[in-house]
Amino acid sequence: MKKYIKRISLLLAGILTLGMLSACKDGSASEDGASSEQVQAVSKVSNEYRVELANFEQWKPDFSLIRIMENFGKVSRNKDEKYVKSGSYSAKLQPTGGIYAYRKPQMYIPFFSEYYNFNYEDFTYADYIDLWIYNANDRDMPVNVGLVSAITSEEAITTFPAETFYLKANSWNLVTYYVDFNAMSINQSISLSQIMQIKGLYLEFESSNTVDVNDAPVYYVDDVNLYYKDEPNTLKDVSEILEFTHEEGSDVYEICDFEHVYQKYVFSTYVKNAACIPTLTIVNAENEGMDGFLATSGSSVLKIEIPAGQTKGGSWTELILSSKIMSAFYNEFVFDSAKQKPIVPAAELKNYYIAYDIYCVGEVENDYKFAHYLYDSQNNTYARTEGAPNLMIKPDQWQTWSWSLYDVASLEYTRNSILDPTDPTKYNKGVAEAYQEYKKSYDKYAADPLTAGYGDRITDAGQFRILYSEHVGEDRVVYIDNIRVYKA
Amino acid sequence: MRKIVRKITSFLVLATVTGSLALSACKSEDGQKNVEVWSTYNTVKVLQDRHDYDDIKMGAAVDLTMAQGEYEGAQLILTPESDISYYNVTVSDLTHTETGEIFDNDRIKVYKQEYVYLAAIYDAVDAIPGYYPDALIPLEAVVAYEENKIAAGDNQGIYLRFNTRPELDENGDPIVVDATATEDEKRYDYVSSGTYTGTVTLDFKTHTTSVPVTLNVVDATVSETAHAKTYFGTYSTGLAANLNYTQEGIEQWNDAMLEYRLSGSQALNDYTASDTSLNAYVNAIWKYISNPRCSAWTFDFSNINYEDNFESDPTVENSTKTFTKESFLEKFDMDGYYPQTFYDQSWAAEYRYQFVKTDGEGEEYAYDSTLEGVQAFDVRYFEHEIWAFMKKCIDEDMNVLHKMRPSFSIIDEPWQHNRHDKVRAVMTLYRAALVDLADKLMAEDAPSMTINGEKVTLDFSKATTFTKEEMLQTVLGIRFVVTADYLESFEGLIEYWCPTTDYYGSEYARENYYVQDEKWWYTAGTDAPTVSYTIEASSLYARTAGWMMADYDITGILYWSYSGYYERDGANGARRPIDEYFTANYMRWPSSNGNGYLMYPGAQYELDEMIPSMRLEAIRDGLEEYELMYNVKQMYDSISEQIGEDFDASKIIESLGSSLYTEDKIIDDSAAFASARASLLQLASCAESDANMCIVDYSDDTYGNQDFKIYVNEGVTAFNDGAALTDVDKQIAGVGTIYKLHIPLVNASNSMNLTFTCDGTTYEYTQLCGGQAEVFEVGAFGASDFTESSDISFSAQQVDCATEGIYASRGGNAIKLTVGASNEASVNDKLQYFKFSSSLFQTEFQTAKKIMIHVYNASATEIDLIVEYKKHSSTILGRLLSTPLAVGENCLTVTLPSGDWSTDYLEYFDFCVGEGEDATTEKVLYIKDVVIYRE
Repeated sequence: MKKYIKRISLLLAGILTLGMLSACKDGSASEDGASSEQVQAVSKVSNEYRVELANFEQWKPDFSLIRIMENFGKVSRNKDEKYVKSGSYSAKLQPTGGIYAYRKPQMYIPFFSEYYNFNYEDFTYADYIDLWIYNANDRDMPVNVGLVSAITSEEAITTFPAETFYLKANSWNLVTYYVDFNAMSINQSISLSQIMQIKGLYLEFESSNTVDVNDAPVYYVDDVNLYYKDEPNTLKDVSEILEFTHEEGSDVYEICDFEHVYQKYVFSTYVKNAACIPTLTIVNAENEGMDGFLATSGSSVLKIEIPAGQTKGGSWTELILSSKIMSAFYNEFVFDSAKQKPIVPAAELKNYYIAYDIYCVGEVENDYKFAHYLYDSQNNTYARTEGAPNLMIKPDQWQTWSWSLYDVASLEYTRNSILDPTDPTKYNKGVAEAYQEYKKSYDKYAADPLTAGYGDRITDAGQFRILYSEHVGEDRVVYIDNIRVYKA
Repeated sequence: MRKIVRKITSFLVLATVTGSLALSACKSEDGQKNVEVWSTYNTVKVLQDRHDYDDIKMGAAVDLTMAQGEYEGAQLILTPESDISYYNVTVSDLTHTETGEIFDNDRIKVYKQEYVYLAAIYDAVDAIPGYYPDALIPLEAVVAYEENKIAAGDNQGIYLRFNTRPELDENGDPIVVDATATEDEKRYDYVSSGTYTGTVTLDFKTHTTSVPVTLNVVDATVSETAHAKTYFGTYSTGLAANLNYTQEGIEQWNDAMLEYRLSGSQALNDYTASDTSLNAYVNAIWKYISNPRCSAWTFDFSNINYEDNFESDPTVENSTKTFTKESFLEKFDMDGYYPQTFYDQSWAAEYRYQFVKTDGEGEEYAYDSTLEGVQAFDVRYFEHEIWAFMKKCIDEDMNVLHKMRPSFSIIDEPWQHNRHDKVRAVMTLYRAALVDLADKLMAEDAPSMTINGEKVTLDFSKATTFTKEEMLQTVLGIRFVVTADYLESFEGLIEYWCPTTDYYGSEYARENYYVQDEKWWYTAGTDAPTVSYTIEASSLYARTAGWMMADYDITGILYWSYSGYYERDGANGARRPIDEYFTANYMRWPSSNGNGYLMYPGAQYELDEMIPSMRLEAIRDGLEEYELMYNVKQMYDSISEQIGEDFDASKIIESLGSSLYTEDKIIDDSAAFASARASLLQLASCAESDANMCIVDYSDDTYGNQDFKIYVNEGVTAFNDGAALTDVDKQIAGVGTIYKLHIPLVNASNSMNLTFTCDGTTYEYTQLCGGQAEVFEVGAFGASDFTESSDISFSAQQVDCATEGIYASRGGNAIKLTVGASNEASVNDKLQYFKFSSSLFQTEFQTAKKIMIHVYNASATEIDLIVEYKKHSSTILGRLLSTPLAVGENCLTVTLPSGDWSTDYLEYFDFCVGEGEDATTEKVLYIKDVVIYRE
């Protein structure tokens, strides 16, 4: 059975072989003769705690272990030296994605192979990963880089939140991905045991929505390295990570203003049409090339690049703000669910609003709107807006969407469903019964004057979702900033 | 600091290993010259680490006979005495020995056989753990990757694949030289028949070895049109293994499969089973279905569940359609086509479309169809598929819709997943869809249907090769293939049963499928000795399937997956990716080596082509032989009609097959196979000659006597073994003569050796009839050889046949067995088993090819008989036969599994004559004799 010794060992072997040459009777060089470049690489290893994950100089294991997901596109070996960062080869990627795919073109490099005898899954001391990517396209392109949490089958993985990097057009880009489990934990539960079993590094590219691989964008990848540090990675409690900005005496309570490092992973997205998956990055507003464009809070904003789809209204995209943030915020500023005591008195709910600012670049259709939902963690259901359900988007201006906490009612949707028992389109017996049970849970609030006014208002918020529908035509950009609660 | 310490440790370990390698690299290369080069049958899998092949080892030569229009492989084995650090294999052009015509060496592809170590053998063959050949890697890639090395003492197989297909264009399609011709041999440009010679050069750098090549091309043609239908499931994980998950990638797969005469199940990589991608879907399928080498393709289906789309307020709009059995039959006009239970069944159904809307804005979102509450599939989409396909047929002026063979996974193996209701729903609604389509088709001259917002009109006036009425019949003739063996509870529901191959294991079982105008079978891990695609089974277990299909009139074969690239986690069966495709990770399905894939990813060698396996080659070879037999059948039908005599090719095909398999049990005898194949090639040319020689009948009396009937045209004298045939069966005045030929199996080797001359050409037909047949009467075995093996009362006694009133024509004695009812208390535990153990087995079965046991059933009713066997070295019983034993005389034919029976032996047969309720009545049997047909 053929075995391939992991890369670091080959480099070391090369060094050793040089020293052994004199042992050969006929003076011939060993097949494993090392070059001076390899010698230098060895000295770097011992100093920088580096493991070379792939340099693509040999098919096995570097290419044979690349795992591409459904509709990824094509991976091949490149020997055009223009696109080789070091050595003689690099990996050429042509991510097509798919018009009907459910995700962006995704691939990963595993950290474990029984056959090739290596295991880098333990990320206790992992510091960062870097890799060279040549963007051989005429515009800057995003790539999502992240860690694989589990390999669930030969064609499915679960992942930790990704970080988005922009690759400059027609040039090499050194992508450096820092491992920050605490930031990731804002959006996803992570345990110490998971940190010790990180399954791989994944890359996600923009979908080109083409079936012809020759029409796909082209990237070249070379020299993928993993670096370690002396201090172990630890996991903090969410309360130690989150920082809600609130000035004493101010009526504004920050939920998320994108100024904190941990906030890079606070949003996730969900959309069934992979062509419509947006790209989310936190950017400095002043660097966006628009005169006078500033953040409404601090200097950073969330930039959402929304690709055009195939059918107007054909799908809905959800921007999902982590439930950990919303729950922590609610518990600190609105309602202490542990003590079951309101922080904002029930009588004042009407004066408090959840809000955010939004800026849409360029013209949009008249009926382009953003919809919203807030999840009720306590009762495991969604609240539907009442009064101002959607925000009709206007071009090239900051707009503020707001929603009175008083109107953030649980089971509103459900209530609509049971309004008229004689209307089969609205009445649902099962839901009606569930609602009656649900109402009982508020009996405890009615007894206490402090909480009585809460009725069935949300007391423990979960995910906050912002939705928009698929549009056609040109791609568009939207900025969001200053998600907050304020007192009017 | 822990990290640095760990790395230094690794450094020290590797230093030791590498030091050893550096020393070994200085060894002398003198040992490379002694390389044994030998050959053997291409149906034998020569293991890398086995060397007991003396009985099948042949000289260093490549010698093969081919028809026109096929592929055929030959293998050379290199066994060096010392390590080989380099080898390469090239083949010269071949030259016709008479005309000098060149057989271009482009038609000969050279592969290296790659070995995979099988630690456990699961298939019921006489195989042992070892290194088995499977992947066939193009030698250029092997050389480029410097994998052309051989360790001392290892066998290294080189596979040479010859191709006599017609000249192909850049798309791989045959170049048409005469568009008006309908026969392939006139339509396309083939190499001439005759003998070609050339040389294989084995280059070891230090020396070369030449191996002579002789290729004999006969005047028989494998049709470019595939008549065997196939459905080989595509698993898209293969695309990931090939690092090409694109439409280009899926086409690479399908193009490769087409070359192997196989149809995949996925033509489009990126699509959704809905109207929005329907055009792309139809166009993608068209590329294959319009190719004559593609005989069948499946329809996709949509099985949409209601989406959990919380912001929508779905409104269900129920649209009900009703149709009845009468209206269905009226359209189909097939009264009597289905079994009576079909007509009796109360399935006047009401089916319902359900429309789920989003946003309350009236846009259609998803459709679903149910039958009496059981969800089936999206009937609307199904109708749109067929409609869009009809449109394509009109646009291309070619009706290939008749190739459509839907097989929906939602009713796959329904017996296993308790899907009776689902089968009923799917089958009923699919027929309803066809009726609905028929109605729409005939409603107006140019009917139309709205698909994806567009009006799709069928203007049949544009079609010149078919009419609207013909298309109507095609639509109504679309049949569902359901992977199920016959079950009474499904009677009337399923039109095309597709059982596993072992369900063709007896005449009785086969009768269940005779009513079908098109028979299918499938394998999804069936084990040898039935059809098997496992790595450890010899190639015969894959290849002989084509022969059996021709014999049993089976048109279609289905295999669940040819491109699965994953392994299963032993603990929970979850699938996971694999690291090494060629030499490890071969189990896609638990306890089955190689089940689930037939190709290997070419990207692993930077190839833009798929890498085949020996199993895939064997499957194709069998399908090519199916085509040869199809051709023979056509010729025989034509000759029969021409001369006004009623015969067909079924008997001669049965005769040829009798040396290769018994029922569904394949005989692992490569020599016999090679002989049968040679006979088949001769058969075709003999029928096509001016003598129209046909073997019109065949029988075997099961006592070692074979009788044939041979037809030749008037004026032709036929000879057997040089003696003219004179025993006339029938004289057809002015036309020809049918002769009788009796072949007693009395010699160690018996054969039919026919020759005849017409138009100055002498034709030969040779067929091995088998070795000596020997009859062992009572005396060679006795009553004491029979004992009970379950809790029953049992007696065995020698009796006189005349006294018992049995076997009047043969007389003599028999052993009367009285098998009492089971004494077990619980019905579930009741069994009636008895053993038959005799020294006869030990002394006489070593060279037995077939064993026939004549049994008389004197019980009141038919008996469901199971025959098992125990090998002396084994602790488990193997099943040989499962068949009903009719009242009266029966002949049980069993074929012992392949293996070395000289060092091991058959300990006993175990007969089961009753289980459960069936074991509550007494059975009376007579064992008359045992007849052995030797190899």
